[in-house]
Amino acid sequence: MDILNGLNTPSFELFGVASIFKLFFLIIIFGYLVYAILLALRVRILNDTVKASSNKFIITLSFIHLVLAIIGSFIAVIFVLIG
Amino acid sequence: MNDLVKKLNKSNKSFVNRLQGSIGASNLGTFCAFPEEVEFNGQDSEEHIILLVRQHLAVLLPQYIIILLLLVAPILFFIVFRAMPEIGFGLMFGSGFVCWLIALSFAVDTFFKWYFTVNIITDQRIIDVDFDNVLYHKFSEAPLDKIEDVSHAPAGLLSSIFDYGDVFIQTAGTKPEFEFKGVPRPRDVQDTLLDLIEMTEKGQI
Repeated sequence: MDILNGLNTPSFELFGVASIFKLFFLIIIFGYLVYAILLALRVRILNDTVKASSNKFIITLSFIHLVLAIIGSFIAVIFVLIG
Repeated sequence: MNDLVKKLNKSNKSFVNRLQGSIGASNLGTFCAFPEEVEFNGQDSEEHIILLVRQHLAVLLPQYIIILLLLVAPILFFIVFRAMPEIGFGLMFGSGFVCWLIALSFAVDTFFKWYFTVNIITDQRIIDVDFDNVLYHKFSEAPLDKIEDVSHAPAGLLSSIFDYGDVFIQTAGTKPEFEFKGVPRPRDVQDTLLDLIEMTEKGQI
């Protein structure tokens, strides 16, 4: 009977302000991660276009950035989900 | 490379003297004359790079401001979210963390775009590499004998302070105009190009 009593009572729990913000930040993190991967791929291509002694530094920087982006996104997702 | 400099010195062209001060500059810089250990895709064995230019660092001022704003944005999030009882500490910290991650990536992205957007002048052609975004980059080139006109113009107020500008190169090819945007010492770039074109026409190089 308790279940039936609650039938006409709309529940806003699922779509509360916190949930909207969580969804928003999760989408941003996903987009950010995709961007970081695309950037690393583009850098790899451009590295062959113009070759210089400093390109080793660029490749290293690109790799470190990608690793930081993956780890950072993972931590950010955890924080956002804990909310 | 020294042989090339000596050979060009004998030609008594003004650009050689203008570039003397930039010989041996790091290829991570904005204006490198006769850079060593630099090659590009499609370079011939007898082709030498005379000048490698990138945008002046002052051109990136808007990007510096955006990075700064992204770094302080978490403070704004903190103020706004504190007024909302539904928002917990995790989301508050997470949103700030996302902002810092984006700031870091934006800084790295800006650096890569600056580094790979490069203009090269060789003794045979000009090369313009534009890295606009992660999905698109453009590699254009034109032989020196196809260049019809070279001009330069200052690019705003900051260009007067930091001495940079845009160099416009009119060619007879399929791409009618090349633009070296926001490059330092545009007069020297123009002079180098005009002297090289003259030498090409006379068969000196």
